[in-house]
Amino acid sequence: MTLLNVVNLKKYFPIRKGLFGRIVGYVKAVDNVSFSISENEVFSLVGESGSGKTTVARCILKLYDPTDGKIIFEGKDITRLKGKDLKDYRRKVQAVFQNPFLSLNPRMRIADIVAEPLLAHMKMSRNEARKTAIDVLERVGLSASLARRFPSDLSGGQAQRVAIARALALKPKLIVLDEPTSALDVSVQAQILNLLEDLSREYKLSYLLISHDLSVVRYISDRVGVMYLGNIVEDAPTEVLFESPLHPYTQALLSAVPEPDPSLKKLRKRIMLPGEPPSSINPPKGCRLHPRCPRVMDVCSREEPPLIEVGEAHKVKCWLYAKK
Amino acid sequence: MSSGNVILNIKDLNVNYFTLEGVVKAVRGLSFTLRKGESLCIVGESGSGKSTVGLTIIRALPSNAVITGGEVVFNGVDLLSLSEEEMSNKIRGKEISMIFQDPAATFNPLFTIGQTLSDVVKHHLGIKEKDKVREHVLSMLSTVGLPDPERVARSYPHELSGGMLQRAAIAVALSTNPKVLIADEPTTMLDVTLQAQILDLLRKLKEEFNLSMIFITHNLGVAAEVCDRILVMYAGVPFEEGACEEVLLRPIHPYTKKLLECVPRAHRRVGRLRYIPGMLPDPKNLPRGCPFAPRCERAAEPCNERLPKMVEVKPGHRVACHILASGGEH
Repeated sequence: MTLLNVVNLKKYFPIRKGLFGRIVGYVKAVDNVSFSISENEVFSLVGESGSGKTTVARCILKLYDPTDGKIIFEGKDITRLKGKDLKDYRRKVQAVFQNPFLSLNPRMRIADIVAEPLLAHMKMSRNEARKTAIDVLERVGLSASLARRFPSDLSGGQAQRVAIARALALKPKLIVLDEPTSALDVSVQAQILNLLEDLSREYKLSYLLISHDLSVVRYISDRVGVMYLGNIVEDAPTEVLFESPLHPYTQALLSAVPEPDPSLKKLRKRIMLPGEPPSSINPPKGCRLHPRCPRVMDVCSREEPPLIEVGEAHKVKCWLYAKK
Repeated sequence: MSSGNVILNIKDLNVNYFTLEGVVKAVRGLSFTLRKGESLCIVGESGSGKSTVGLTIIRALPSNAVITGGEVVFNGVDLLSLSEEEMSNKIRGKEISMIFQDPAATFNPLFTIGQTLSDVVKHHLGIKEKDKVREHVLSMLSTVGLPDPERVARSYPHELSGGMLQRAAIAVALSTNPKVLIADEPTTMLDVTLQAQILDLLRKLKEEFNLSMIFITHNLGVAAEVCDRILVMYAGVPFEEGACEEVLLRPIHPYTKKLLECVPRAHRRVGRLRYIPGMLPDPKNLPRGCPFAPRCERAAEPCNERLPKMVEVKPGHRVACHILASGGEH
């Protein structure tokens, strides 16, 4: 069943200039993005800096108001939610960010950090909330002895576990994970990835994972959307995307990931994209990749390609796959 | 493997940082050699001491660091015995250059790229004529693949993107035709497609300039892309060193083995990830023996007693582990 449905989402940031803040243009951070996440599904958005993946996540968390489009969660458009419905939505959708030391209050004790959302949403007494908090902390692999400590006493991996516990405490439906392991060392990252995998199974959670690390994405996702300059250019089940990517950008992106296994390295074909992504203030006309695309055709610079269905749950925004 | 081929020889290096909370032993008993034209990768997680090694070689350690022992022999001279003046006029940025994770570290934000580059060229190469300096600066900028070198030379650091600025930093590092380039996580701040471009560039320039390279990274994939040999460090201690393929395909040290199992892969489907239990040791409170012992499932008595020493187990493949040294299975 579909849990979250994002339809034609747009988020433009105005560029203001001069004394009176005249709007001189827009950064089109997210431009017509649609995707959906089913119950108990892990969906990832990957892309390089400036692709708009974090802006999508922030719109879903209601940290930004979208410029246009709908975000439908459990049948309701959340861009219009108010009052009790809004509070309910905030409970059901939680977030874990990249740097736990920035997302945890340094002056609060660990148990209080996890208990605070329980007090706000669950009508629990302070004692009950603290007890529940300790249970959740133990579930994410932290001993109760840490409950009275402060975030600065923790290692990066432990602090990220606290952030996960805080998100988990409210029994959410969806957790937005924005680069949850990018600040961690490899040996600790594996622990956190396994924990996230176990939790999603145990609590029937859905995740929206935002990441630039394609190896993490392959490991944990069911389905992946690849973003480039504010668009989703390919959307496919994880194994399909990694084994047979169709969009030239996806192909280039995957081929750029360094591989630690020297025996696999020889089999790989490198596809280089020249230059750097252009700015999303003035994105190229037609297909946004066309100035850098190795397989560019005439039509690419003239018309924007549609999102074309090429297989089961596999969509590509590229003229190469248009039916002639 | 004649010693004539060795360009840099590090012997039993020890570096400490003095902090308010105590002494951090950043590097302990590190020895390795770098041969001409070779690229050696130092791989490790945070606190492994890998960056300290780079800064020690060019003698650019912060003021609270003390080199408590060892030698850094470059072309027959122990760099640790040179005066600061000799270091800055003859070695640092001349014979041995370094690039960093944040390319902005190379530049003064108040000077244009061209000004910085011509200062380096004038100081180290002694070129005086304006035209020749200009020519050299522009040719360096185009060597590193920057389009429109004239415009780049007129730009201030903040006007360039991260990828372009890292290329410019490489131009500065190589403008004096150094013998050794130390690259400390040069692609960590870049997106993967730009990372691939920079790694390609470094590979190409290494041949062109006949460079020897020390490449410092936490990313085993990046190491596999650029290196001939790999040195694995953990909490300041060298654990394993050998040819790139040997270490990555047939690792011997328990830590290296575990570390490789921890890494999710983009180019291969993996089952459930193994992980190393516990966390990295607190650098101010290191265990007495092998720093990996508390997380190592094969740890035994000697591991908690003293540091393991590097021993050659196969030709060109060295490992520091008590269990292996006492005849344990690989």
